Amino acid sequence: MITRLLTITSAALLAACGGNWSTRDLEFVNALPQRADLQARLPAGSSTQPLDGVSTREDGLNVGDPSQAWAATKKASTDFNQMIETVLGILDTVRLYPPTTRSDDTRVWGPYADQKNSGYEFQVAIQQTDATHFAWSLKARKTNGAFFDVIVGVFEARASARQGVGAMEIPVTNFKNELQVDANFKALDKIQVGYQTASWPHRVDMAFTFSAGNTSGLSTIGYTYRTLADTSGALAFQVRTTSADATALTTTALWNPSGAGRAQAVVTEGTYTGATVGECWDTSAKVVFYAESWAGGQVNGRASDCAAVDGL
Amino acid sequence: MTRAPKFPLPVGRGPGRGVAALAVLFALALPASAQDSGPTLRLALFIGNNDGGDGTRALYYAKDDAKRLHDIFSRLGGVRSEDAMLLLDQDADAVLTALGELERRARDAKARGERSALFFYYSGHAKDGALRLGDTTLPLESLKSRLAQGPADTRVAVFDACRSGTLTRTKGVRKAPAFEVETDATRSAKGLVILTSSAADEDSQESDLIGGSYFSYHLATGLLGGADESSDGRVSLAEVYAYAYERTVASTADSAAGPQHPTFSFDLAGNGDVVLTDVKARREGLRIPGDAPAGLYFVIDARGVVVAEALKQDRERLIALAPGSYVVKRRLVDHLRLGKVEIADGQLVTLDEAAFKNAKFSDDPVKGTGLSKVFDRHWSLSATGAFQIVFDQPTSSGGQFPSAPYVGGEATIHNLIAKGVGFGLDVSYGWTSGVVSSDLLPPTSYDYSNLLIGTSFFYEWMQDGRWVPFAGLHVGLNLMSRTFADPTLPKQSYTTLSPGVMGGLKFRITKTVGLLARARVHYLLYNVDETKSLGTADFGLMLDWEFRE
Repeated sequence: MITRLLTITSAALLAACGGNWSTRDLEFVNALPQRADLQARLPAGSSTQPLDGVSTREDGLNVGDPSQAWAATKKASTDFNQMIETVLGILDTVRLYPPTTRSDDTRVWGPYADQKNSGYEFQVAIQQTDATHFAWSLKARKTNGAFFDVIVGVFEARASARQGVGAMEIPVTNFKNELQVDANFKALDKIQVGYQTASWPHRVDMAFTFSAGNTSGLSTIGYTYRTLADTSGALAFQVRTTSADATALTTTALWNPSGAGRAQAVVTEGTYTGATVGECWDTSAKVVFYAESWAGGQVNGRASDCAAVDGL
Repeated sequence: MTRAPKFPLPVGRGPGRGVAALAVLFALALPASAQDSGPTLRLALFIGNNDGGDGTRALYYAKDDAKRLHDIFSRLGGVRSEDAMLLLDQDADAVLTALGELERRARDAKARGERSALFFYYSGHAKDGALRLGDTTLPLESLKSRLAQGPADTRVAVFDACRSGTLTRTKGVRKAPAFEVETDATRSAKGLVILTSSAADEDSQESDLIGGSYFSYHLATGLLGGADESSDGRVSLAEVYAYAYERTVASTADSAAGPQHPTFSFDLAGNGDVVLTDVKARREGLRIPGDAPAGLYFVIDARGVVVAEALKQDRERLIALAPGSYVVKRRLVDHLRLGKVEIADGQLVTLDEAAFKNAKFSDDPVKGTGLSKVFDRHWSLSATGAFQIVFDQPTSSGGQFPSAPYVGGEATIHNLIAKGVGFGLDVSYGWTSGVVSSDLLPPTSYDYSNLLIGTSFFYEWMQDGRWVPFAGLHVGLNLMSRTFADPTLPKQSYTTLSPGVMGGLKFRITKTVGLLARARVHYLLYNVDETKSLGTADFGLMLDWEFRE
């Protein structure tokens, strides 16, 4: 009895040593961009109207009307965040698992079987190229075939491994005919994202390059998002309308932590190409000032009622 | 053969009066009774060794027996403290050296024209014709020969060991109690007297209730006054032998090992009686007056161990006791009579039996030492609280593991493969919160936990004492994990075996409940990011329950 007890105890103690206890792993996974760091943050509870897309605007806005610019900004930020979600979601999943292999300067996760694409595997690898620089990639392949890039990125750690300057590119042409992708991706050649989180204001740039001959007629579209620690933010985006006067606008919206903000849209296509539309709104997303720059354009409210947004 | 350990003392049975006295034909050793004029130098050597080496099982009380006899002779036997040597757990060389020193003193006394007497006492193992002192042996025949030729005028040797009766087979043996005391001896004699605890084919037995061997216990209690048949306040060799013989046989009659018969031999010229202790001169202890009820009185110390007994008949009895608190017990047919006695330094307390109270047998204050149970194989359970320190930088400065408090429990089996050797299984859980950071990692909060499953081999010293030190080896399986406040970071875990050493001290609050202070030091290997040899130290307090009768 005693001998058996000793044997069982010894065997139990000798079993299974090791684990994923690694502070270095944390440095590597922090080099991967995270959704929370890159997604646009808008003041909570500031919406007073449904965000169902850019409305059609025939006439100017009066003071007290719901702000169309703020609605467009929220719609753009939702699109922006969904794209970040799509691009980075898989990285966040990988991040929750320990690396499959470790070396001094590299961590590799996988290859894992791709649940959405039967017969394919994917792998995430991060390499520290020098003291502060990391290069990473998400690759896929047919089982036992050659890997192709799905996302490639670089990151320079500045304040810490999570705060720095990074960039990534999604070469959609590499995989849109191999992997199951959303219809919107089919229209793209690549997506490029650049970001800076080392100091305030943080900045995220996103550019979509469309395939030639796509149905939207667009060649590129982009977003630029900047934010401060107090949640003040700015989002530059492009909007298309059905108005012949302003078919396409490039809009830059700025808001402060209260939700009040201002926007200026430059008409890039339409009768008033080159003209601008300015709009300010209050904390309840109601227009406080509206101004069209072209001759005969409307000007409602006082510019002095516009909220101040500093530092962006 | 070994002296057989632990058989319970049959209680409630008197010694009977069959053995009256012994006739001894050797010389008187105490000067008061000697016809030869001049002082007598009394020398004594007491040897106790629980360990008999290979092939023997450790005894529980051999050292206690030697200490008890040493104390009695120092207090009551007229032996100066510098002439009473006590050797505990010593080897054969030490015994011979001590014996040689006492022989030298005897020769010096003779040169001065003084008489001398040597009392030699051994309690321990005897096997294959030799005393077993740890891993050393002392042949009985050569020792007997040396004692026979010793320079002391009178030599009294007592052997409390199994089969010790072989010493008395060859010469002068008497089948006790076939002796009569010759109380009017007029001429001192010279020579050797040997007492043994058992016959040549018998084991000598021990008992928890008396905290010693039967023979030595009865020898001791006889020397304290229980054997003073003549009620003159002096206990002679003849008296104490007769007493010890009768009581030992009676006490062991119903034991599993069978009755144990002490033996006696002499090789003397002259006659007279040897007075070993003078109970009256000391005037310290308990006086059972002549008008007290007749019967057997037991004296029980604070441990619940019987330290003396006396058969009171018509005359008063004196029992020499060291200062202290005692309970005196008299056993009747259907109940006990109990009384408390406080004996101060130099005080002779007269027993007032009328002040005794009746008590049920179930309230018998005799508990015994429980020593044999202590040394038996038994389990214990402990609840532990500890704090573990990791020999590493703080995790906020690049260290891997944090220091943390622990709670847990331990199951231990004591005296597993040998006396004192224990084996334990322990489980404890440690937890804390901390911050980890590095050059590229901003301060990141985490919750840490470690489930530590371990096993230990250790040795306990002085298990019978109130303070029990222990030391040994411990191997722990660490199941560590940390969960970060940042939900985007993965939970991390690490499992490793940690060998180490441990030591501590147990304090027995009661016989079965103890408080332990324990320290352990472990090696901790980390090998994920890099290979690092780390260490831990933990300091704990444990509340311990021993499961033994």
